[in-house]
Amino acid sequence: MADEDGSFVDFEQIDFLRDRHVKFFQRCLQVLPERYSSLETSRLTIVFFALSGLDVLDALDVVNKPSLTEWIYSLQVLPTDDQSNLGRCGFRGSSHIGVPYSTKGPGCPHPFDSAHVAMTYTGLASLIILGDDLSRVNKQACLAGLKALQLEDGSFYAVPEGSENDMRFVYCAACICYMLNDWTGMDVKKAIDYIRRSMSYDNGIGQGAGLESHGGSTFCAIAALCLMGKLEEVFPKRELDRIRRWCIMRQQNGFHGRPNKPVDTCYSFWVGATLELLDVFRYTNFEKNRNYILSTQDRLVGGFAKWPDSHPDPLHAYFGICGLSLIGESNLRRVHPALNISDRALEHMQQLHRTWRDTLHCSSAICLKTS
Amino acid sequence: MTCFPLPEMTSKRRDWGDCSATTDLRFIAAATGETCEASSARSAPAVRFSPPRCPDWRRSPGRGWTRGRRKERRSRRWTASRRWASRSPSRGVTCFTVTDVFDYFRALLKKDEKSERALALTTEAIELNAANYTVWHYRRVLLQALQKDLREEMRYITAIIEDQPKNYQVWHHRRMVVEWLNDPSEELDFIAEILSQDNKNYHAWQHRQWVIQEYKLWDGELDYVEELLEEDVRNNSAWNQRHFVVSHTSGYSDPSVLEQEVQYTLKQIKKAPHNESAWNYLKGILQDRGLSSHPGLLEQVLELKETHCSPYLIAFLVDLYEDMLESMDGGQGQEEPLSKALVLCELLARETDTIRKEYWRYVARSLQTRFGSGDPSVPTVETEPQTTPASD
Repeated sequence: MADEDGSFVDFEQIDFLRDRHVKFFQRCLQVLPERYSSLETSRLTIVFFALSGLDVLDALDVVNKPSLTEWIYSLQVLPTDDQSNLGRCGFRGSSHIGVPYSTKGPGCPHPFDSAHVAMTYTGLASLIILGDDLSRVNKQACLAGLKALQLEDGSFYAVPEGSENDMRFVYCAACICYMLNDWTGMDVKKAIDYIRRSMSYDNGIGQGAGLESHGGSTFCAIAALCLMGKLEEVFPKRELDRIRRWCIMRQQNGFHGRPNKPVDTCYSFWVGATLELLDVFRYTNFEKNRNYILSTQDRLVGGFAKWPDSHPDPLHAYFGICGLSLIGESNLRRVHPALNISDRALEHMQQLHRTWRDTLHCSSAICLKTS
Repeated sequence: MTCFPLPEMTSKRRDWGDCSATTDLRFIAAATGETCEASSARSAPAVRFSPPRCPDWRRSPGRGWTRGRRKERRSRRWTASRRWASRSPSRGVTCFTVTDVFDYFRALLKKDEKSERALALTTEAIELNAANYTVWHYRRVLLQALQKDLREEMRYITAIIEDQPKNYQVWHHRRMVVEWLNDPSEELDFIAEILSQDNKNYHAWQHRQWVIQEYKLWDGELDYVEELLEEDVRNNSAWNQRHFVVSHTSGYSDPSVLEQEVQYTLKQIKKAPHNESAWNYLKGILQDRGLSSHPGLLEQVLELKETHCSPYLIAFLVDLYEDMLESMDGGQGQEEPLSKALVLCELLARETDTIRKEYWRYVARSLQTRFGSGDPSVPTVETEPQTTPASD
């Protein structure tokens, strides 16, 4: 087949193997090979990739929802009896610390047990995808745990014991507040300031001030601002146009994350979603993007890899599928480009928020009546 | 090919040092009963790892017993020489599983034990999973409680980072040790060594910027950047570092500095015209003052267009004309720069940057809307709707 330049493209297999990917994610939810053991402390993120991936594939029926829900709740770090650990509340990535299994409080005191911001984010998102009503989430504790992670410069640590701080965790924090529908968990002004200062001379956004602009951190920044509802307040049109230009220049066939770097499947989502949030994704070349993503598909085992002829992994499988969803691949659910969950899951979340609001109004009304 | 092997359990526990039963970690681990396997057995375990087979012990002549590797590692000098379990004549060959090490680790963690054996255990745990941030945190607690030699720790973390330079935890640990020692003297050389293996390693550059800013080590950094750009003028990280250094030292407000940077960049562009990084740098240092206000720049770029053209050059011209239009602020003479900009957008769409043809047409439409007079003689651009490719 001829492409627009008139040259002939090699015959590549460019069909999307839906069922292989469903099986790939199912296996991710069971056992991973030992070479993935470095993901031990972030197993919950793998669950998120698998669940959200299956959701986008419209294949959540293969999942044992009650069982997974219980497992996720067992990862919640709940307040102890004396509430002395509120700054450490949220979700863990796995049982790696060895705290006794429990899906309800009070929390078990342990000198080193604390939540991780990316696990709180993916834990909440996974529960929403599973259709849970978050009634067993201690929301105030999660927000207290989140507040404890924000630094003076507006960025966030991952854990209260301290860690590196960068745009990834700003995004996680924004997602947590958005899902819990409560922005008291962060100082929004400081976070916005951190984002502004992370914009590079070349109009992309780095992990922090002075750092090289990068597709991942650009997504984190723009998506966080969109979740806050502050995008246009923070960046006037001229700056948004500059960011658009930086992002759109990332397309080579698929997308790369930085100028003069090789393309990688996951940037089809990181940069693609950013372009969608900036309302210019439609001006990218869908065909070349699709062809690249599918060239990284593993036809035997399922999933996607960063490059062709490489081993697939849960992250690239998930973002490959999300990248295809952005271009409107048939039989894939649409993905919310800022929150990174399906439209179906988002709808469930919005319904939950409506229920919370109504409950709040009812209880205020009762208070007024009885006062 | 099977990617997902069934779990195999091998467990040969041994005494953990010369300790009595009450302090033997094996018994503590059993008493707490809270091993990973125990807790995960109680619920449908989501995402478990199959434990590895017992590590391959083999005897190397002259080195005694060493453990086989899961994958090739470059720098094992440190841990091989310090592995306390492996070379004990009276105890013979030792065999650990990952579960053993981490079961003991969990037991120590719960006790919050502060001892040499705890520190040694963190070394083992890190060897198995250097991404476990809890182990690193516990190690830092121990280093301080036991008042360990931090210079020794610097040597340790140097070896670990050499081996796993894309791990977040190891760089954070190094930063903590440097802060405790308040001694950055090894950092620039060390980071340069890491960058010599991968000159775009984001962690390395991040650590480098932190060290330079924290300890004011700006001297010589511009020279280092220029060395890297000599090796590879397309290294975007090096261009970024250039901006980092200049903006924090002389700044760009000094006109002679700005001109020097502009000329340096144009020189690099002549050497390698198809280089987005150089063009981004040129635009970046000039855009806030207005691309069209820099004297002689338009002429220099138009000259370059003849012999060193690229999509980035054409896009730069579009931006320059846009800036010209903005500074005219609706006054006279807008037709010429507008027409030039529109022609260039169409050139990009049709010829020089076809992958972004829809985008360049969108840019042209925006320019037309903002600066067009509605005069039918001014060229406008046809729009074609984007269609998603057929997919089965």
